Amino acid sequence: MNVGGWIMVTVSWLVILSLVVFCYTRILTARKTHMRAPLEIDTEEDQADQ
Amino acid sequence: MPGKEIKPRENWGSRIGVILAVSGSAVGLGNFLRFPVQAASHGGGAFMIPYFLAFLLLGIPLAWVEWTIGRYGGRQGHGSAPGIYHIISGRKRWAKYLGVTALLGPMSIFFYYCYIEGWTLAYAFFSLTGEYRQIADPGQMTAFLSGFQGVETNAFFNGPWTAYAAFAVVFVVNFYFIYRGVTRGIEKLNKIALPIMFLIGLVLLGRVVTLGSPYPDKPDQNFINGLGFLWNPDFNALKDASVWLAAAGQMFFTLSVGMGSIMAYASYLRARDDVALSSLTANSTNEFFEVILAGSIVIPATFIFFGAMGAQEVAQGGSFNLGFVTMPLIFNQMQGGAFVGFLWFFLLFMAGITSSVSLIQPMITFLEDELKWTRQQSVVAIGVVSFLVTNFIIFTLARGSMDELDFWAGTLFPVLNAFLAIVLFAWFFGLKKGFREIDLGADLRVPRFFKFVFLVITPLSLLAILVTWIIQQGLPVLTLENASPENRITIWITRLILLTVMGILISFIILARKRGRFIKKEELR
Repeated sequence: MNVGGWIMVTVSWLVILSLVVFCYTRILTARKTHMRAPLEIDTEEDQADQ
Repeated sequence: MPGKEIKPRENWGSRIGVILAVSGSAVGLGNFLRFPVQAASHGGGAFMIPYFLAFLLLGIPLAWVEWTIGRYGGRQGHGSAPGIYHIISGRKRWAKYLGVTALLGPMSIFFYYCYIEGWTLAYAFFSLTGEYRQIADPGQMTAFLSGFQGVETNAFFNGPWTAYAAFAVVFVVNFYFIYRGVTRGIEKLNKIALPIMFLIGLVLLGRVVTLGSPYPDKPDQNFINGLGFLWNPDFNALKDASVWLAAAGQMFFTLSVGMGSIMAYASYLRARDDVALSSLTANSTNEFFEVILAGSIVIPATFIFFGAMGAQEVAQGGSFNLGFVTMPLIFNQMQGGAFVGFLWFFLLFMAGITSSVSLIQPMITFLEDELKWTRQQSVVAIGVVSFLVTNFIIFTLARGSMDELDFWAGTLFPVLNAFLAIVLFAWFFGLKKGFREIDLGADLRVPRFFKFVFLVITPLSLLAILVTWIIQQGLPVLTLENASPENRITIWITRLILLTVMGILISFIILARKRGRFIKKEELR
């Protein structure tokens, strides 16, 4: 593998791994107040068709 | 077929469940078979420049849009493209009909995808039983595959019946999970499958890394040089427009955008569930599987056993050749190859089933939401249609039916659907309202420069891809330029089937409109 190959593979892997770590860290540490909540229907501005 | 018991719309059981479901939808056969071939044959490492640009300017924005309008639609009882397009267009009379291809596309892909999924399951079984163990020649392995598919009768197989049995199993398993519903079926499947796929991917990667140089007289054929074969950049390739087009195309195949699946899945979110971070997480999970795992397994393994020339030939031979001819040959030369082969094909099967259930869901959602059919009625109806059409494909495989369906459903419709979704979102729904919707319950603030991306860059890029594909590939396919005379009848029958299904879908939309499912703007006041 030449220098260009090493640069491309390192940068690509770093970008993806950083994104994965960033996203899952945020997901796992995020507040969970709106999960598992009762069904919410936002009627502020929308008219439900159902 | 009116429903008897209408249940309220389901919701995902957990946040990680919906993220894994969307990731599972995105991580499919294309991640493991298509990406390595595309990268190796389009400039190696240099391919990653247009690939990451497409990720940033097409993949991420389109996924955000589909998650957002899906949740917005679901809140108002519409989880499929016709209903969602209707409300985000400002209830324009014509908009609901534009959603037809976002139902027809994924369902048509399912027609042939579940058959291919059956191949992966059968090959996993063959790996353990040693069915292809004695084959060392690529020509013989191709004959094995052709015999298995029923394309030819040979010493290995007498008709497509083994493949048919595998398809039958896969078909039942798919509809079992679909029937179980969003939480108990799809979510549960993905919560189990994704971690297993991750572990299998790591084991396979570990096996390829530790292969060393199996031939003492060819010490250069090792993992690092295999990686180099895939990653050494050829920057001259970037002058070729087809490389940029291939990168954009790969982004479509890999992220499941333009399929209607993300919209359908997101419609089962609660009103204030995050979409911004969840969407990005699903995308990043897909990229991990595609670039890091798949990119480090397939081509390096091919290089180690076949060298640079062999790997070049394999890359030019296409995805099926790589997956079902080259990889079995590699396993036959590898220590512990039977078990590694089983893991490889089981990984493909898991990747396939988590994607195929997502291909059916938009249609199920449409029937449940707009026609008020029960899940049981929807599953039976779609099951019958899918079974009939897949049977047609199985027995006309050699006549080009699958390629024809793949062109329309797998290539053209996703780009068309994505273009319609982004234009309706940015230009009709409006960016002010759109960003308010993205920000609702968001755990991540979407950067505001994406307003310009949504409004101009993504629609124009999609238009360019659409026009180029229609000119380069669409016109020759449409006029049957490259079709052999004996295949033409089958191709026309395939088109007739597509048109018939499209006609049925349009009549369903008209029926739903007559039942008052698409309220006009003036009726709201």
